[in-house]
Amino acid sequence: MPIENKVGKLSDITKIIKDGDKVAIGGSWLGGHPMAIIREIIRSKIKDLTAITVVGSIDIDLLIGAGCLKRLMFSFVSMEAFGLAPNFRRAIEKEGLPYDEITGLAVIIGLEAGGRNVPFLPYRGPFGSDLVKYRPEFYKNIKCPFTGEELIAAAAIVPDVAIIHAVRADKTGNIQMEGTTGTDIEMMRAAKKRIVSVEEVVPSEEIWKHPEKTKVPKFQVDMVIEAPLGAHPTSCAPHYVFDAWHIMKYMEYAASAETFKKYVQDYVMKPEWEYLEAIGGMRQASILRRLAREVKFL
Amino acid sequence: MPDYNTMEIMICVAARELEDGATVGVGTGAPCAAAMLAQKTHSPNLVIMFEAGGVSPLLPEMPISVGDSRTFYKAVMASSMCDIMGACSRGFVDYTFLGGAQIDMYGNLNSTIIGENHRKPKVRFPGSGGANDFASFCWKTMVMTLQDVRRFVPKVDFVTTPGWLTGGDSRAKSGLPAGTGPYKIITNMGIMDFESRSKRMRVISVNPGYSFKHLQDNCGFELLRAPKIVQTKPPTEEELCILREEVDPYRYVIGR
Repeated sequence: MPIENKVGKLSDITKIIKDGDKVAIGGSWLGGHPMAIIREIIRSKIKDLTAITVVGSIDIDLLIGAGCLKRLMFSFVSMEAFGLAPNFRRAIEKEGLPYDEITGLAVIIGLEAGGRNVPFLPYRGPFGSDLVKYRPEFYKNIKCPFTGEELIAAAAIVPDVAIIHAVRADKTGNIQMEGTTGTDIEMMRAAKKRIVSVEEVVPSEEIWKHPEKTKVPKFQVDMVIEAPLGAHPTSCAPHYVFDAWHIMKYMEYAASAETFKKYVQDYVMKPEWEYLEAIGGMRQASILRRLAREVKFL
Repeated sequence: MPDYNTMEIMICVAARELEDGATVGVGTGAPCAAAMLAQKTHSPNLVIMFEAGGVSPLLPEMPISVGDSRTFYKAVMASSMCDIMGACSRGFVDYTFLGGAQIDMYGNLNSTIIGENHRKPKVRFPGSGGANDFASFCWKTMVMTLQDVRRFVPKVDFVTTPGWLTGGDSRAKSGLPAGTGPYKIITNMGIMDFESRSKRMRVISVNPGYSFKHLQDNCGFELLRAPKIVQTKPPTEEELCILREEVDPYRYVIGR
């Protein structure tokens, strides 16, 4: 039997992600978002998605601005030190984009329930918060069948697709990470299908050398896409830092809906290698890698 | 007495609250600066935790993002958000620092919306993230914010993160773990805690140059007074030197 090969091209994501899907997006804050896949979703004009994020930033803002979402489930969306997320704000304040805000832990517990194949999991919160009141379809008060304690049940979250970015994989789909993992692993366990972009696809021998770095095994992965700098402009710890220069440029473009259209034209609606050229090519990549190394070895 | 700015005194005051060996969950910005200052002065064994998974880093310089690899520089563990939240849920985290757009007299925080309509608010803020979970489960929640009537309001537009809820024993009755709750509010004008029975916000210390009246005039609800209001000890030469030269040499936070 031939060795299985899950390696696809970016354009192959349309074989898995369909209009109207619920898509869980990995990464957190300005770190580790699967940005090459996000750009490809926009290029492929996939629409009516429900995005699920725990802590989103430019990934969510870009998808909203490009008109790919019909709904958003999140606990936090922000550009951190660079400000509030401009498209996220506009879409909710001006256009009333439907959204479900739940707490970070509730998203994780919902994903864990999905990953354990149960309809809910209980936890001790978020009592007293208005978030519970506004999201009865997600939170229910329950009594523990053993002790009688009052708890809250978080409904299972089962995304149609999870997309994450990682450091390396072999072609059979064993995924290795080398930094903090945010909520990527929980998303991969819960989703029905999973696509992973990686900095590099390596021979399986490389995976066997460090099995402790494998965070997602091949049977939980449907497609692997080699996308060097695929998290840009967010970071891929510990290999490159986020691109503060590009994020500042993004914030300028995103300041109005009009100029944001130009961002999509200038940076997104072109092949991925042209995007990498547009953001400064190898020179910029080596700066971002060097900054990461300096942190590592300081 | 050395010169210092608003951010610097808030960071120094916050750092002094973190005793050696404690665990603290922080984000980036001023709370991170406070934790780093504590680590470099009186609390070398402080365990700093970042929501994305960094555990106990020896921060070389200020991370700008919680997803930044600096958050696990010389750390003991690069874990996950699930691990960090698990530690909070289980009561392993002593302190956390939060912010918000609005806070009321019981320390309830709003980081969700301004406006009446949750569906289509006037202003949409980033949201809870882990703030609700941290404040629900960490033992002592502290808030660093500017003293301002628009922030200190009689009623928050949305309770994102529970404080003492409606005061008294309402927090414990709601189902949140007993013994957890808002602890101190650190502003540019002074320090407040919560009176032990009513759980209402109470001034315990005023910063140099300010009086109780300044705090009350910049607060949208009635503040209680501690039996003895002391004056906040200003930042020392040593604290300022470490803060400016080691913690935040690029003035990301203290230059704001």
